[in-house]
Order: sequence, then structure tokens, then C-alpha cells
Amino acid sequence: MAVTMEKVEAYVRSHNNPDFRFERHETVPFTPLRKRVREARGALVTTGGVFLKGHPPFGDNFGVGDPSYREIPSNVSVDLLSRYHEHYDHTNASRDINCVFPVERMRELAAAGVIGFLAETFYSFMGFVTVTLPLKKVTAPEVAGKMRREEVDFAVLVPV
Amino acid sequence: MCQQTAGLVARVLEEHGIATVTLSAMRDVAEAVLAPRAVFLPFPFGSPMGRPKDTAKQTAVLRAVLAALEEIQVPGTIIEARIPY
Repeated sequence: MAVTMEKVEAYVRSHNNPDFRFERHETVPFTPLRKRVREARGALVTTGGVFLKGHPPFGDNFGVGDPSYREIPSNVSVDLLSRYHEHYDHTNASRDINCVFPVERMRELAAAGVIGFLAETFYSFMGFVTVTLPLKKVTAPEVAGKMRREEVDFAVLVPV
Repeated sequence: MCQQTAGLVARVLEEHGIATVTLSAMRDVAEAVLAPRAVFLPFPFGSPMGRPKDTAKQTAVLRAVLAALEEIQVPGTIIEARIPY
């Protein structure tokens, strides 16, 4: 049974937020990649609710969601990572965080020269966000600003 | 939901001059939110990069995503990765 937008929308409207609707955009912002990946600085962003142990976990706010983000050093030991996100099956991510946050694969491809450089900081959101305005107006622009200061050329986004 | 959130973050990053590529397990959401560059790969929710400890598969997925980053020139393009789970 395929999971469709309509089914997710109906579920969220009945359980979490009666106003929820997937966004339909007509225009798309676009920044050309001006370097080859092998010469560029890359960052990783997951929406898997990953965070560094000892940092504040994400919250669910009784099903409304959480637009906040966490910073994770790109050289982090995966043993120091935890997850909070009630809206997906954690079985695989619990065995191997790279299933949702492929930080070790990014490091390997950088070491192999496929990626030029890694940003010092990677990012994690808790992807269950039923009210998107704070994400679009506050938290995502903050992450963009931090990436700009680290001279990030590209970001890979991994939703769960 | 995560699929939309990733697309929305990608759009904001692009507005700020950072190129992005978004992995997507739901093609209809990627089309609706209009992620700037997307790779459609219908792996199970909760395991978008492949199975645990399957380093080779995870690497193949990441390589496909990075290839799409260079390949896609038309905003909003979705490339279908043909990688079995």
C-alpha cells in the first residue's frame, strides 16, 4: 500500500493539526553549483531528529512538531549521536545512524576526493513540522547564514 | 512530512546562495514542494540511505545524490535513482 500525500495529509489533519496541508509551490529558488563537487565544500542536513548526546533533544509539542535544529560536528563519533523523532520507525537508525545521517559516508567520500571538503558543522532537523512558518522564516535561514559563514558550497538533504 | 521539511529547508538554502540536492522517498511531495534538485529513491521510511551497516549501498546512494548535484541544470528536476533496497 503506497503512502500518498493525501493519506499523510488526512492523518495529520485528524491527529495533529486540522489546518495542515502539504505546500504546493509554483516557483523554485536555484543556486547553480559553481564548482565540481570534488572541489566544493559540502554540508549534510538530516530531518531524522539526530542530536548530540547531552544537547537538548527535539520535542514534538503534542503533535504540532518542532521547527528547531541541532548542530553536529562533521567529525563527530557516531557513538555520541542520539535521536528524537516519534514519527518514523527507528529500528534501522538505531543500528546504524548512517541510515538517516550518512556522516561516515560523507567523510569517506571526502577522504577519497569525491567531495572537496566538508563543512565543520552538519545540521539536523526533526522533520515533523506541521506549522512551517517558523522553519521558513527563522530556523532554516539561521542555518543558511551559518553555512554561508563556513563558505559551504552545497548541502545534501536526507529526509526520513 | 520529513520529505516536505527537507524540501523547504533546501529552498531556503538556495535562496541564500547554497546549492542543494534532496533525497526523496515520496515523489509527489518532492513535486509539490518543488525541491530545487531531487533524487527519487523509494526506500522504506526510516531508512532512506539503505540498510544498516550496508556501507556499499549507502555509498552508492550518496554518490548518486552527488552526481545529481552536478547533473541537474533545470530547477525542480527530479532524477530517479535506480538502486535496489
